[in-house]
Amino acid sequence: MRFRGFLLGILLRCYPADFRRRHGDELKAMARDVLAEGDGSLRRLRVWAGLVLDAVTQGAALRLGTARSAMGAPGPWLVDGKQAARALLRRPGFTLLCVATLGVGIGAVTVAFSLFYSVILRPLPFPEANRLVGLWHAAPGLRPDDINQSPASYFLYRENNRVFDDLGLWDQGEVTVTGLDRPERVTRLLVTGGLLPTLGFPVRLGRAFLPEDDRPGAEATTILTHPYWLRRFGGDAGVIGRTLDLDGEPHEIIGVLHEGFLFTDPALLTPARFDRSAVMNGDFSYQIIARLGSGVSMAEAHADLERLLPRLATDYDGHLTPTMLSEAEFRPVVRTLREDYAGDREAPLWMLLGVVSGVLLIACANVGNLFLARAESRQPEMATRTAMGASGWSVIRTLLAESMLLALLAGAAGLLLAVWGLKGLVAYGPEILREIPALEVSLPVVTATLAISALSGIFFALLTFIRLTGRDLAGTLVPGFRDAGGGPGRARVRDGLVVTQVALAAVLLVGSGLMVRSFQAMRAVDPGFVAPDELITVRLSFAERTTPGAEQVALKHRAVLDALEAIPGIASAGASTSVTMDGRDSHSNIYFEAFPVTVGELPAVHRVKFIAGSYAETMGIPVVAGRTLTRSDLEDRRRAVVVSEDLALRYWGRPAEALGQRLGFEPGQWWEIVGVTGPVHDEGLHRETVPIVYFPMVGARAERDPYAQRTMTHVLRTEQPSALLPLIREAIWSVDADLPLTDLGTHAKVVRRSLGQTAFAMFLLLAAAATALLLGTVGVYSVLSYLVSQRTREIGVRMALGADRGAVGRLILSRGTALVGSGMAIGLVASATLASFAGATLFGVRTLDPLTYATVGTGLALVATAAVWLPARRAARIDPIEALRWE
Amino acid sequence: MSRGSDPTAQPLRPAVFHVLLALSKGDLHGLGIADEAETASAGALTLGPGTLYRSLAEMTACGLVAVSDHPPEGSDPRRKYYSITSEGRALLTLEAERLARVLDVARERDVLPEPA
Repeated sequence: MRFRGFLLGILLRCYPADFRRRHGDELKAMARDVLAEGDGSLRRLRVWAGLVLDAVTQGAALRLGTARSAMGAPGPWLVDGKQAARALLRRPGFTLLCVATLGVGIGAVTVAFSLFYSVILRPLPFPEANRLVGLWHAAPGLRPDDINQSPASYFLYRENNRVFDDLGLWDQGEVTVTGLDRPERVTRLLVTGGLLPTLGFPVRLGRAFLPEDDRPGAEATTILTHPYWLRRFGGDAGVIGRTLDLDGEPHEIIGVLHEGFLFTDPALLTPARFDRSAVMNGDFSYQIIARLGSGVSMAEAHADLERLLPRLATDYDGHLTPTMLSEAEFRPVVRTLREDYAGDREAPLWMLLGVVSGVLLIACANVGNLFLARAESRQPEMATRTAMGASGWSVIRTLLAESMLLALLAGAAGLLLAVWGLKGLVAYGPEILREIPALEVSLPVVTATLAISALSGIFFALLTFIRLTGRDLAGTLVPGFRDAGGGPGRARVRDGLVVTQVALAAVLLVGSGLMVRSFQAMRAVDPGFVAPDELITVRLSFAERTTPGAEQVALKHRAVLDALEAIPGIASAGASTSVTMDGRDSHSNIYFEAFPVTVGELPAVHRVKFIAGSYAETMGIPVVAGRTLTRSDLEDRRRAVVVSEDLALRYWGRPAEALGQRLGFEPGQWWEIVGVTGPVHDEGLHRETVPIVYFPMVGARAERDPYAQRTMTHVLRTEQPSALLPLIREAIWSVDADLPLTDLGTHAKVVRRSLGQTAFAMFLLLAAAATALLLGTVGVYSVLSYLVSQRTREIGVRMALGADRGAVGRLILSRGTALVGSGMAIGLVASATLASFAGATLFGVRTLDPLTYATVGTGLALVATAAVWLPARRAARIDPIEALRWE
Repeated sequence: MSRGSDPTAQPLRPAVFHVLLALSKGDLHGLGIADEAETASAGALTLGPGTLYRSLAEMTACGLVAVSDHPPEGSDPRRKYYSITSEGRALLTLEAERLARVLDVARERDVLPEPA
């Protein structure tokens, strides 16, 4: 019996508290009666089941106030929803303004979040990707940047580590594909057998690489990536077993990767087939990815690599000695794959997110103010309801329904804006955006948007409710007792919102101002060459099979140059392994005759380029001293080089002093410096110039060590780039009909790209600032107007009592300027603080740039004055008699 | 309570109708109402305590029933008895008339035999 009572008590708790209070006893009594009627345990069990079901369903229905009540009447929420919709429709101006304002803010945040998500948050397409790490080296004594890996370090780490499940080495390059309808140059990922298993990325057709495929001398094989397979082979499953010629060497296609291989986005993969016995320890041109064993920390991995690193110098042949390792302070670096991938894109994206959040906050503040204003006018209604017995909860429900409906509408509008906006950005915005795979408004982003909308809805409802219940509602029913809109609490909230808006607008304006200055500074940088839109570049590569031998290569490149120079309209032509800012870099040890390196000491490492033809002249790089490399230098295989001015300055103080000095790849094999050319910003406009040594395209590092550069970028200067493109193609194919051309176009694109990121940031900030300014102005204006209209009566009284119009106007004016002034002050101080964090994205401008701050301050003041002056004028124009009558 | 535009045209929920019907004879308490409803509906309607008291709460709020202040003789003083109000009686009549009209139509169409 007692147990039954206990159970019934539990069932009772299904019901909401006040229902329990009123009917609890009756419920229990009836339940007991029902139970008493039954006999037999089966029957009793059925009765209990019925009671439980009844309690749960009715209790839930009561708690939720669900749509159909026991009476058949629509439940409270549905009623509120319909009423909310009607209320919003009754005031279309208010509704539209709120939805538009909030929608813009939400849309902007959605776009920014999509970007952010795609680059930083979205999981990488590999299983347990958080265990994937990239392995690097750091050698501060040698270079400030990271150093890559070598085949030697690959074998060393792979065979001896205790912390990784597996690791794989890779390098991205290009390869010429022939054997299909037309030759093509594509990106190729060189991998060791361990890479695909380390990533855990599956094969869709055929098989992955086996250890046998990765042995030196093994039959050449290749795996295609999914997009390449679709594009070139039409998704034909019969590709397995076919042969592709890569750089002239036949490779058997053994597999096709699954979709979504977002790893450097190559067209195909080939095994490295290193000869373990012949690898040199100093060839740091590759990269390694490893998978941490489960439960292994980064610190443990680091420690294990440190343990192994010294063996790199002892167990393998090459330039690297133990002394060098310690002198250069060689040590391993382990970074998560995510860090490597997102890398330097993080900072601008965080900034973007911050900026648009600022805009959203301003929009919320605006709408919040509108809500507050409207709340004032609903006081009588709410007071009446409360007086007639409506609970606080029902008032909240009404407000919540209205503001949630509004917020969700705004969210939907924002989503729509975001989808269009993102498409537009990808199509017309900076190139960088097109490189981000799958940039779209995805499901997680939509969820976030809905959450933001819901939160803002709750925020507005709360705001209104607090305002309404902040004072005695009943008091407002008495006519004439109407609060002149100036109770201290509510004025503070409203004022606070206005000040916040102005402050945020100031921050955004200063930010965009600084960006504009950065952009200007960057554009003013002399890249080191001239008129990039008159410079055509095209990349050509002669494969071993078609062009064996260094002599042949030199002849062919030379033939191409001759053919190109013969085209009328071409002012000059040249070639280089890497053109300024094209992202390719090649470094080498350089020994200087005048500065011998002592035993165990490390030689200098410098960027090298191999040139032919009139490279410097074509590029517009000025000759500072001496001469450039000539045709006869090349033909006679003379050991002559040209260096850039910054290199000459570094070693000899004056460019002219460098002439006649000697340097080389090896000590004893000297080349003579015959010229010094101007410095170039090889890494981009916002980075320092890079010292470069220009070697001739073909030569011999040592007596029996000839080299020839198979792949060169040919550059042509002409005033008519587009008109000559077909002639250029013809000229090249007249030398070699099978030669694929890549990257044929003007060099301007590359320069634009360097400016691109700053330009984009600038554009975004300007857009955000303009929106912020607009919203802020509207906010200030609406608040002050509202103030004037609320205090019309009071103003009328004052004027009737003799206050002159001027004084009234000045009152409003002073109130307004106080708000704006404090907003600006806070905003400017905040900008200065934030700008110090954004130092890296700024270029050539101080964080406290006086011009920017002064301009923003003045501009904002002017705009705000207008917003303040209009209501003040209205206040001054109030007719006291009208004002007093109006009640 | 809402019954659409024409209050006499919309059917009343079975639970409500049968509660009113049960109380039309006199005051009853919870279990009594449930029993009556079950009998009158020939077993089709079984009201659990939650359903019943939720309906009673709403009907009280709408003024159709009220807690009885003159419980019948010999009744348990601890229990609450409910009685039908005049509004409730009026609604009950309306519903009964509505049902009767429907039955008339059925008879016209020879679905039901004419009363003897």
